[in-house]
Amino acid sequence: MTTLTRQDLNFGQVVADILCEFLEVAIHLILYVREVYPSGIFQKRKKYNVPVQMSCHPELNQYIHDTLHCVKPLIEKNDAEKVVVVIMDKEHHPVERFVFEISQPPLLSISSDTLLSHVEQLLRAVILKISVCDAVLENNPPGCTFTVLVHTREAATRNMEKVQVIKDFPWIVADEQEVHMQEPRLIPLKTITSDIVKMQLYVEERAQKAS
Amino acid sequence: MRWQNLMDVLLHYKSTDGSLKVLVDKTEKALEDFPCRVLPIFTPWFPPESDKLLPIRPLKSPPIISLEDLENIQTHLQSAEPLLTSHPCAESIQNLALTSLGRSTLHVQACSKIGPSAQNKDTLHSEREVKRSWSVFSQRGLYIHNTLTFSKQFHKVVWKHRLHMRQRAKWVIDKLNFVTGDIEHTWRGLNRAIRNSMLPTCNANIQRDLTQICVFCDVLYCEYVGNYLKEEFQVTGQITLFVHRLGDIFTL
Repeated sequence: MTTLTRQDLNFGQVVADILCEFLEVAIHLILYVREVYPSGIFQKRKKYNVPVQMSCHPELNQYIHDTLHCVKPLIEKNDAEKVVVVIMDKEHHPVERFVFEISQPPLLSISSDTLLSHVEQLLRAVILKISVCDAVLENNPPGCTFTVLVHTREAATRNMEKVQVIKDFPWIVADEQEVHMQEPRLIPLKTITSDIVKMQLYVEERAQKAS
Repeated sequence: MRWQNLMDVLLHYKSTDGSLKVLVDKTEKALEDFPCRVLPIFTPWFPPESDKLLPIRPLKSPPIISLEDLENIQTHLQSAEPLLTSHPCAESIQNLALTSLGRSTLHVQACSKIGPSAQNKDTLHSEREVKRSWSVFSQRGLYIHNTLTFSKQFHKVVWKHRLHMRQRAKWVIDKLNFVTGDIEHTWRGLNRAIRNSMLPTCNANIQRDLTQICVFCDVLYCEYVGNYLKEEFQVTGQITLFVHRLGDIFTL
C-alpha cells in the first residue's frame, strides 16, 4: 500500500471523475424515483452492475451534464462540501433535499483494488438505497421541479470563478428560500468510507409537503 | 456641568473625601435624562457572513417536459431498437454498462438523437443502421392473457423430463419459418411484444447471419409463448423448443 498526497498522480481529478459520474447516475435516479419527470422519459440502464433509470430527454441530460461539468473543478480541488439535489414545489419551496456530503482525505492510501472494486461496490450500495428511498418518503406534490445546490467550504462568491467553466451556463448564489426548509425530517440513507472519499447521503424532507 | 458639544458632557465636581463612587453615581444620575443610543454591531463588508452559508446553483432552470415532448420521446423509443438486455451476456454488458472509471457518455449519445431537432431523415437512417441483437425485457404491466395453461402433450413432456417451471427454455425460429415473412419485421414485432409485456419472462436474440431468432422464456410460459409466436408473427412450419442439455424436446 502506498501513501500519496492529493497532488500526486492528479488524484483529485480521478476522484472528481468518479464522483461526478456517480452523481450523474444518482441525479437521474432521484428524478425518476421521486417522479419529478414522467417515467416515460426514462429508460433502464445498467451501472455499477445494478439496474438504474436514466433520462432519454436530451435537454435534461444536457442540463445535468453541464451542471456536473461545472461542479467537477470544485470537487477536484476539494472545495465542494455538499452537493444537494433539491426538489421544489410549484412555489419553488424545497420539499426534499438529497444531500451528498463529501469529504476527501488529505492523504490517500491506495492499493490496486481501491479504485475499482471497492469504490464501485460502495457506490452501488448508495444507488440501491436511492432506488428504494421512495418507501421512506412521502409522495411529492404535483408539478415539482429540481435544482442542484453546491455548498462550498469557503464563501460561495470566492468559488464563482471556478464553476463558470461553461460560457452559457452561469452560476449564482442561491436564495435563502431555496435553501431553508420548514420543519425538515432527516432521513439518513447511506454512509460510505473508502480510501479516496467519504460520503454520506441523507434526505431532508419537509414535514408538510402539500402547500 | 456644561455642554461642550453635542456628544460630550463634562462634569466638574470637587470631591471632599476623594471617593470615586460618589462621582460615578452623580454622573449616572445627571445622564439619566439624556437618550442612550446603542451602537450597531460591526459587520465586515466582505465576505458577507450570510454568503458563507449560502450555496451556489446554476442560473438556468432545468427543462420542463411537456406532454408533447413526452409523446415524441415515447414514439421514438417504441420505434427504436432496444437499448438494454434483460439477461447479462458478455457482449451486451460490454456495450451497455457504463465504464467504471472515466466518464461515459453512452446514454447521451444514445439519446441525443431523440427530440424534435433530431427527427430528420438522416438521423433516423443512421440510427437504424445500429442493429442490436438482444431484446429488452420489461417488468412493467400485467400479462393480459391466460398464460398458464398447458396442453396434455406439453404436460407429458414436462413430466417426462422433470423440468422445473422456472427453468429456461428457448424457441428457435429459423429461415424455414420465414417463408412468408421477413426476419427483421418479425424481430421488430417480437421486440415490441416483449417490451409491452405480452410475452412473460421472455428475452430474444437474433442471429442475422444464420437467419435465426431464439426466444428464451421460463418453462412455465413456454407453450403460451410458442403459440403466440406462431399466431402473431405468421411463422410457418414447425418451431422447436430447446432445453439446455436435453436438446429439442417439443415442437409446435
